[in-house]
Amino acid sequence: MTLSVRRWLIWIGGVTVVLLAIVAIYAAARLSDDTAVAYQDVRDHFKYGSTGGERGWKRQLGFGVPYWIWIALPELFPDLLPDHRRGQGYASFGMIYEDGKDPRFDLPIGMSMRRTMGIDRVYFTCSVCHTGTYRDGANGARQIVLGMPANTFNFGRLAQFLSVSAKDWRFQSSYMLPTIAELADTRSRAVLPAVPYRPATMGAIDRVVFQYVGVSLMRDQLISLLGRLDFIDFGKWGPGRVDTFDPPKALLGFRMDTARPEELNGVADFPSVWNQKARKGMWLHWDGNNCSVDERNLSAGFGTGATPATIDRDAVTRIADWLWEPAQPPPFPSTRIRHDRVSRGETIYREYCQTCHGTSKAPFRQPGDGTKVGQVTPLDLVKTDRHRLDTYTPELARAQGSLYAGYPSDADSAQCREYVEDVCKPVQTEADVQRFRALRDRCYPARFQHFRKTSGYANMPLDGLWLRAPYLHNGSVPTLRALLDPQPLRPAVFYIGYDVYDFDDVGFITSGPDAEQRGWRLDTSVPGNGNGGHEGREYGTELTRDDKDAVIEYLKGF
Amino acid sequence: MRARAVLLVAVVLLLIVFGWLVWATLYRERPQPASITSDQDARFLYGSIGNESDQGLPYWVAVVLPRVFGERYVPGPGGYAALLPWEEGQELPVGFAKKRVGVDRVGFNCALCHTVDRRLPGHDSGRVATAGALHAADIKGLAEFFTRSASDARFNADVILTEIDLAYRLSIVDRLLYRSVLIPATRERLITLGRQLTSPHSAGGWSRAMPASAGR
Repeated sequence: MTLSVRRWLIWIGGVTVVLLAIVAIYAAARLSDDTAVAYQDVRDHFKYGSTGGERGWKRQLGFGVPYWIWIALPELFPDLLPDHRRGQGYASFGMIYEDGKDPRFDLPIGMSMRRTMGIDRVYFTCSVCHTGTYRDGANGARQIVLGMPANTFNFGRLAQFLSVSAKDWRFQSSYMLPTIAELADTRSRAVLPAVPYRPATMGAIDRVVFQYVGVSLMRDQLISLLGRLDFIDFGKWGPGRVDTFDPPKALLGFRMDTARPEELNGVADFPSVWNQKARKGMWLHWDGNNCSVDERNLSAGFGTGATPATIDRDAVTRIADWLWEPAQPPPFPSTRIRHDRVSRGETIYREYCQTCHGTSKAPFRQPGDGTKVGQVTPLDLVKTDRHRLDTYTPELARAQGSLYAGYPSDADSAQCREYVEDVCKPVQTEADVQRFRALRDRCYPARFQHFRKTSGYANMPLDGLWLRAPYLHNGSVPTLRALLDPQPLRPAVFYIGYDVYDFDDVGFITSGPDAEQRGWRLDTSVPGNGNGGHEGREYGTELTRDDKDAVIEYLKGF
Repeated sequence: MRARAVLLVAVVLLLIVFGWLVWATLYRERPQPASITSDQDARFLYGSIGNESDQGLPYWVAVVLPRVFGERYVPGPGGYAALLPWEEGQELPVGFAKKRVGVDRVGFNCALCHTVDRRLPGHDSGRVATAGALHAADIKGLAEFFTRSASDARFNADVILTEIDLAYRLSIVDRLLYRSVLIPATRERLITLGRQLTSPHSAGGWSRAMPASAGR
């Protein structure tokens, strides 16, 4: 009798220990999980590769949205989508789904995926703001261009959608999980394209995790992240534009309720990201507030969720190396250029534009040629809208010096001091590149040391100019032809985000029923959207009609 | 008898190792980098006056404090930059001296009060002038910021470490140290600092290195 009780107890104890061990091993394996979806082709890596933003570190859970929640949101809240239509994924925000992809289950360009803590999670990557499209007619084929400004993507509208849905009563597991189950079921019957990785259907354990923790945690994360950004008016952005330097103020814990109004309205056009090698040593960002390509990349990387503790250094370096030189703008269709006008245009460009904007192709400048490309022109001279400049405050420039503090670990070594000094020097020879690469490999990422407050806007190189419309830092001028007109003749109201191209005026079509229906109304009388400046004799707005035509033909070749 | 001797040796050895660990993690000093010590201006602005461990803050607390509490207890946007002169590109404001005493710490030096920021508001990058008679820094604001942050219910290891986790990967040892020693001790320290900053040169006030009458 006693013997059998004892045997039972030993059995129960043994089984408990084994079970606990299994649970512990499972939990350990799951919590230490950290695998990004890998892409062979660097272009795919640019489109979908993770910068590390999905994962967390210790008490930080990371920014990644569980794949199944991301997929379920547009299905669960169609009434909150811009076009109120289910089954289109995030296409109505202007996100790009490649041909053959199913927007219900596949990710758009600019979303990356990583498995962390046993959950497949997605978040933004660089291409979300730096990949755009154009078509050569309303029925023309869509061309996707990597590295071009995301002309169709309305980031502000997406932020509003996430913010409103997180606060919606339906954002809870009892609504979310049945929708996810339904979607998983639909997916199992759908014919889908081959992709490197497709998250599995939720298992029993996942369902329990999401039921009791996952969904409410996600809701909590979204509310607290977007709550910190509450002082930003996302409705002012529109497609292809972003308020670059207000989110870092939230990251740095700035008190925003006492901020002056001019500090809160810095909407800027997304830039292109080609030819970074030639940009080393130029003043970057619209107001030229930093000369380091590396720091600029890391700073933008915060937007993809990559913090100093979570950044995937190798993945980011791989993207940076591709943008360094291999990534190039596509040429303007040659048949659309009136070649007989080009040489006249070049003469005028040299006289009027080249001193500030450099030559047509990288490296845009030669030592001692006197060009001011990549330098800042004071606002008093260029006179374009001042809001973007004012939103970047001296306080922010200084506080940014504490970002990436503690990196690299041997910051005081002579080599890493050399890196910091070298990071803003222009590249002259291949030896410069090799030396810089070696320094960077050892000392990157490093604390931000090159942010500064300026008093104007930087003279940008013009590579791929035709795909960078609308023009000026706030996208307030739709075409090159309009930019060569003085302010009173530039369109006061037009529609952006429509991707049909206007090969004559050089820019996108911004008026007419289609543009009005598909695009977003940009009113240049709204503060921050001013379309004045960059005008007068020296800016070419007083040239004859004929000469303006010629300059435009020449600029098509950039 | 022999067993007891072995035990004794073991205990002594353990004590030595433990003592070394305590010394290494809390007291071992490392000189500041030459970029600070060899340049006169840099030395005035960021040089240590030797008060890091008894009057300073653990480095990571100093870095993240405005990120956690700046929203409430700094009068305007900017964290420390809203209160103090700060040179562009520097990791800390003028008057903050970073030095490793066991762990990285931040002490405060004379430049905190005695520096003029020649930058015009809203304009180009300016340079700070050293040893000015005018006070560019809002020391009262800084004192208030320290005191109020320390008195906030959110001043605890969980909240502070959560913010540090957004900025840096602390090692396991440093993490433990921050959680159980450094952060709890900092609360008291901030309140003291707030008091010292309001009457810097009085007895029990600012730097021990300075006679009570200095600066009048």
